[in-house]
Amino acid sequence: MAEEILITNNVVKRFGGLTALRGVSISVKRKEILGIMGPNGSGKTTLINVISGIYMPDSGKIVFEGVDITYEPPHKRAKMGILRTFQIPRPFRRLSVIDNVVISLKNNPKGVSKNIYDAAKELLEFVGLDRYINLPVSHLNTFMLRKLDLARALALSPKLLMIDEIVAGLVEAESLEISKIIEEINRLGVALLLVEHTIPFLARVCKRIIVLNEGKVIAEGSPEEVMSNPVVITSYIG
Amino acid sequence: MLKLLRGLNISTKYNRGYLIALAILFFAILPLFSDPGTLRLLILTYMTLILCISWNIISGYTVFLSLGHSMFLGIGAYTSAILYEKYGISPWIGMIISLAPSTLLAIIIGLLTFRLHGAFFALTTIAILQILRLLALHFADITGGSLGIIYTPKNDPYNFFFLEVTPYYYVIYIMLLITIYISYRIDRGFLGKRLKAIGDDEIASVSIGIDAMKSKLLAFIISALIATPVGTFYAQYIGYIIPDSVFDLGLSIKVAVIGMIGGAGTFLGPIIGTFILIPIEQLLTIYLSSYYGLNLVIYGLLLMITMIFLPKGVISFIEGFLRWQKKY
Repeated sequence: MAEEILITNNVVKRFGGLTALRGVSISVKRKEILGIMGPNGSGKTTLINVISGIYMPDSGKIVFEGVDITYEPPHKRAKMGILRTFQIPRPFRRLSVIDNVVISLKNNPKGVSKNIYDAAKELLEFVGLDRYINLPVSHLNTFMLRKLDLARALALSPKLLMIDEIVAGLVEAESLEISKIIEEINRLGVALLLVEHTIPFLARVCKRIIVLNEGKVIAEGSPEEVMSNPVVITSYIG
Repeated sequence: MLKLLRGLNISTKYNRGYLIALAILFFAILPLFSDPGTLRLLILTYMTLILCISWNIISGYTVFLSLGHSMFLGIGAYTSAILYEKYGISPWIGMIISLAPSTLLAIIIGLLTFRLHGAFFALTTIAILQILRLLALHFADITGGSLGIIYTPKNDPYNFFFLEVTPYYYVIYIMLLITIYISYRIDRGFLGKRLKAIGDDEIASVSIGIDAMKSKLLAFIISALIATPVGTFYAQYIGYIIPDSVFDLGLSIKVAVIGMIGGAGTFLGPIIGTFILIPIEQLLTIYLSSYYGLNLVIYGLLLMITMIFLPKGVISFIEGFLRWQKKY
């Protein structure tokens, strides 16, 4: 079995005259936590959108577990094990907290061995939302909605989970709780691709970080290497 | 009054079951003590309600607004009428056969528009409705053109003709009960949840493995299958059809407005909307018939008031009341 679970090869994505990704080539190893960082507009979220299939690349190739998935629709990628969360949580507002997870569990390609509502409760317990299961999602705050986003993604037994700026705007205690959940998910054998704007959170949970700027990879290495890289410093400070 | 409402405790499952059974029984025995005028009003209400439930399945849940929903009514009416007139096929059988072209049309429209923004779907449904109306006018040797198809009144149950209004009442009543049951199963089942998820956020829904295209197509087909038989019923009950009466943009918009006022994307919304608006419309027709078009003005005003004060429809007010009742 190849060490890499995901490889993007020279991925280009344009929006009219704006090129958001300029030949991005990265790889995610099995069971690793890879950090992607970069200033605003560097292409981090676009990369997640291209990998998850929300956007199709203009050129380049995306390979997941040895299979070319470049033009697979997003729902198929999700069922293959590529899941993601959103920078601004996108819950299903007409469904209760538990139904948000149940509807996701229903799409698990392996099926659910136990009662689907019990399985959903377990996932909500895992992320610390078990007290809110029957509430409408409008009762949840941003921190809780981000955890709901996580539970919803976990319901499909992800092999690769892409998490988009999950700690942005959270207080330190909430950020720590998220770190623990992420590490726990990783211990279950899930590869994680964490996208963040700044380094402190990534430095806490990642061993390898890739830095994007203006749609290109400008640095790669351990948090220490990245932090001391003059190109990275220049891209942030200008 | 408040005490009485609290005492009803209508939120419990047990009482709800009794209330539903009582309501079904009440409307089933209604013809025994109702005059034909009341039954005609109820028939009109039931037909509109079935169309509204059908509209709700695609437009209420997925938020893909159909503004030409009476296209299915027209297909049902014309298919069974032509089959009877030209080939002597019983409209009961014609009602089943008409499901095929409706399903095909739903698939074609869905494949063309479901990948695009909802506005394209809304415009396409209007365009298809107009095309079908023009086709019905143009192919006069088959459809009767602007004169339509006229039946001679007779009593022939095998061919879906009755001289009394009561048998028609029971036919549409059974159709309504089946429709409400299907709608309930969809709302409480996984399909309803899937459709609500797609309507709330399609990108998030496909990101958790929902095949949005397939789900929307399925919803639209179910919607078409529910609306089409109403067309056959309409043709048999009224006794004649013309393109303007079945491929009717006004009716299509009315169905959508009723759904939105009642509460789009909910099980009870279309029922509440229909039982509020159809009696209002009838009263306006009776008492203010000289002011042609006033009913449309009042519809517009009601829609504006609802959208401003109850954007989720009247159902949201009732749900709020029930929550309050549960709390105290």
